[in-house]
Amino acid sequence: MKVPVLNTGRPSFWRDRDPRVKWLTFLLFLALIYIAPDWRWMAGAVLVGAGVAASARAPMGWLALMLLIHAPTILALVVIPMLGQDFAFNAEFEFGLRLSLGWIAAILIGVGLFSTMEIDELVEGLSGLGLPHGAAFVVGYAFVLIYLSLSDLAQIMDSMRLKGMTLAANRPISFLRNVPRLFIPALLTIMRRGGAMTAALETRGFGKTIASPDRVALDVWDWIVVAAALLANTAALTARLGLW
Amino acid sequence: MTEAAASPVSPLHAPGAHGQGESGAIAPSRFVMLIGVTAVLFFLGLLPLEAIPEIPVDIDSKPFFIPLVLVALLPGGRVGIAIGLGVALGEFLRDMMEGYELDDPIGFVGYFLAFALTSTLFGKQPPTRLAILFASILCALVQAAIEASSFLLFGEESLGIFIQSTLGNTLLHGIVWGAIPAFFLVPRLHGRFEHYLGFPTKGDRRHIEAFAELDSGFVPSQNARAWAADLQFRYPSSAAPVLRGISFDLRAGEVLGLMGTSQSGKSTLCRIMAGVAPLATGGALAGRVGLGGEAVDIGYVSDNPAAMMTRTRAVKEVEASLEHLGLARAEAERRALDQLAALGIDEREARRYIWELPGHKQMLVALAAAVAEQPHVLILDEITSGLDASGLARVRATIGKVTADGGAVLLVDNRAQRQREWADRVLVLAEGQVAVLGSAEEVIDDTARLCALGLAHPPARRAHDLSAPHSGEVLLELNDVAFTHDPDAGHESVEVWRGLNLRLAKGEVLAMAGCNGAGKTTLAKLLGGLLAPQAGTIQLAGANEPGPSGAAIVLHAPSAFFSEPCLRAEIERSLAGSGVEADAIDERISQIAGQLGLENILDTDPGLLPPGSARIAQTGAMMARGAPVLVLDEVAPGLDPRERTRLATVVADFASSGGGVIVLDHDLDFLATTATRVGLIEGGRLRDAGPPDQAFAPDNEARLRALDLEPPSQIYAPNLPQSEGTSG
Repeated sequence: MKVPVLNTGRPSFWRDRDPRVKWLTFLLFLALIYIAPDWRWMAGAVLVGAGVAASARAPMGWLALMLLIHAPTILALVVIPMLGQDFAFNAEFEFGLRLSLGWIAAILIGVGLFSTMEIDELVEGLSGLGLPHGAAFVVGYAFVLIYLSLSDLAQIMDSMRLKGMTLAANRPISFLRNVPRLFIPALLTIMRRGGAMTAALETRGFGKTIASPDRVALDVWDWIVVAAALLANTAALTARLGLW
Repeated sequence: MTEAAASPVSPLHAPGAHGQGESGAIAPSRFVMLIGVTAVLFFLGLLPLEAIPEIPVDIDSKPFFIPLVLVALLPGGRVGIAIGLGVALGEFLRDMMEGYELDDPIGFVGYFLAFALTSTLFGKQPPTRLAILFASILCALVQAAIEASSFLLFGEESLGIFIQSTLGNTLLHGIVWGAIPAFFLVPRLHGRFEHYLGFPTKGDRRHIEAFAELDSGFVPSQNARAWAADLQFRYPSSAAPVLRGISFDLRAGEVLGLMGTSQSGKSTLCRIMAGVAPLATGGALAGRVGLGGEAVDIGYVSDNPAAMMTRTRAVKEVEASLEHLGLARAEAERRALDQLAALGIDEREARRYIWELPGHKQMLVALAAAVAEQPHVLILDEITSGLDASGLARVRATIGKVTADGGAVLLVDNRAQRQREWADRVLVLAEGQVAVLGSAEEVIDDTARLCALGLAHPPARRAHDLSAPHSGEVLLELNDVAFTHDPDAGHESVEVWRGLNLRLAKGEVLAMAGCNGAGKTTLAKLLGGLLAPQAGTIQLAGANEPGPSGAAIVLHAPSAFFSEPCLRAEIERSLAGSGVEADAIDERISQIAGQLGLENILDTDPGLLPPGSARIAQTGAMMARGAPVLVLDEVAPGLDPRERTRLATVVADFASSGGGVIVLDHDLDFLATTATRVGLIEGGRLRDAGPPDQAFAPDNEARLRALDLEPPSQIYAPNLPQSEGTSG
């Protein structure tokens, strides 16, 4: 089974960046969304997010699907104030626009940056930013579990089909009737994994002293990216505080 | 005797060790496992509903019922904190894939606090409906309020949306996605979740009842690498002990074979010796377990290799073990690749995602990771049964290196011939006790005793006297079938089958022998309609259209098969689908259970059965469908001799009653006792090798070895009486 993984593996500008830089950029970008004072800043953030997603060669189909799924929320944030419904943001259109643009920007930057990282890079990046190694490891480990569980899920679905149970999405009633028969074995399969997983962690040295990974120094482009992100946040903060 | 071995208190387990203390403390690795499992369950919880386009499910709706079920069934304390962290992590991971929303950063905190708090309040209580309802609403309210407060960061204008969001999400998540599904799931999972995760069922105090201490006066030998004395063990959800007074030692430079029928306690003993039970499983341990020195490292490979993976790629799995030795990354990677190459995994495969590798390769990766740390004790739990001849040779070479360096190996394998050749001594368990412990020759050559212990069994009769003609009526026909894996489906683009022609007649048992990767499972999936051939036709007798529907396929992954809470319900469901009259179902269930020896486990959760019993149960459930053709894909590995004989007898009965059977396997011992005709899989084609006596004759050994198949052993001693209930 082809398990959908986060990392596209495509070569790109962002692919070559240090994982610490990618995490830091993401966190600073999120902070910018909260700090930015008005919708114009958010429109800029959307443009930057789109640029990052494009230069990271993010999966456009996936990105479009995510934006489509969030479309009702995004539209509601704009349309409800436009209709003069004063229960939402005191009917302030600009406030709603700011929120909805921020929503779009966060999706673009998240999908864009994370599609350039292997799981091990995610862990190294978090660890490199000072998160305790055990906590960073759990994030990566959970991803491994997700991928393995998706692979298990394919086997369970094969077994169901062999037993004559179908999960055709275009037949909702039969689908809903059969879902527990997929869902319960899936739950139990993940549970059964639990004991072996603990055993693996114990016998593979979880909790032992782990040598620090050999960290590569940041290159010029890494520094430029970090500097740009810091500069944008500083500018947004000064604007928010009315200093600019 | 070494100092550590002489120590009255074991360095591996404290006397009376429990998986979870009364204080609720759990080991760090178990804490991490709970976070991971909760995160994955929460992440995957809504996938089924998101798959239906007709149902307008907002992707942002959260499967609150998942952590609620965990809170309802598991104890509170640190377990509750792990659940809270797991939910927050699960949400974080979903957002990494789906994109962040503005309320998420504070929402993570809300998830953690809500579930940690709820677990603290409700963790100790039995899961009543009222408690579930209160817990669900409290959880949803706390989480919704904290998450919605993030809107307030944007300005006081969003107070209205804060109130609406809090109330709406409390109702949506607390009732619709919380209490209602939890009401349905908690009774169905009560007693099962706890068992799988190694926690006692709430209110059940059997797990803390003390064992009566034993003292056999056992003294380990001078050169013991590891030892156990008067070992007793009980799982948290079981009243009866699994191990009762086990004493033995594992000596430097030796391979100690471990044998025993299904449920005799082999895997439990491995887990205890590896230091993961009761730590990972829960349960109570009595007796002493020790290591022959302070710095003794243990390597352990369980019979479920995929579950032992902690990294995404094979090379990283081994590399991580090497980094623990203090090697620099580049050096660790080089050695990891060498280690994997020695086990037959080339660099291209080593860099693939672990789930893209077939099961036998995952097993070898797990072995490579275990030996990378240069263990003094290597514990291998039933890893050999799924491997072909070249895989076995590589495992044997690896074991040889460990023992040559003064290490000791505990090898679980019920193949007597293999233990005779590989092991120095053999320990046989029966009902949780040591039945025999002696030199390999002494134990294995005593065929009568092995037979009495259920570890050697006379062959079942074959489906037909080989001289008797088949009816000639063809049940299944394959013409020029070709199949190449689609590289977009996570496989390499390999031509698996080309020009496959096959006819299966009534009363025939066709054995198809092939090494790992020969295409056996692919063929089973083609026959079951899970894959479609790119060329050629598959025609089942009685079907109006060409196609495979109607064959009963038993795939070699029983853990993925069972969906009902007990085996009886599983068989009943198959029977109902096959058109059996409702009033005849009970009688038919009894008949199938009697045939397969399942009478005593009909009301057992099939997910709790050991692998061998689970495969037999899976076969019974598929046979109940009443299909004319039965296909068994690698069902023999892991079965004990008694189970193999029972399964062979069932195959014979099925064929004798007018069905046709295809057995796909690399275990030629099993094929030799079941088949009426043998085909050898060679380069994507099936070569007819005639009846088993001809196909597996001594003068054909070189051909079998060239196909990476291990010729049948002679353990089915010709002088043994014929199996009960069989005739020639």
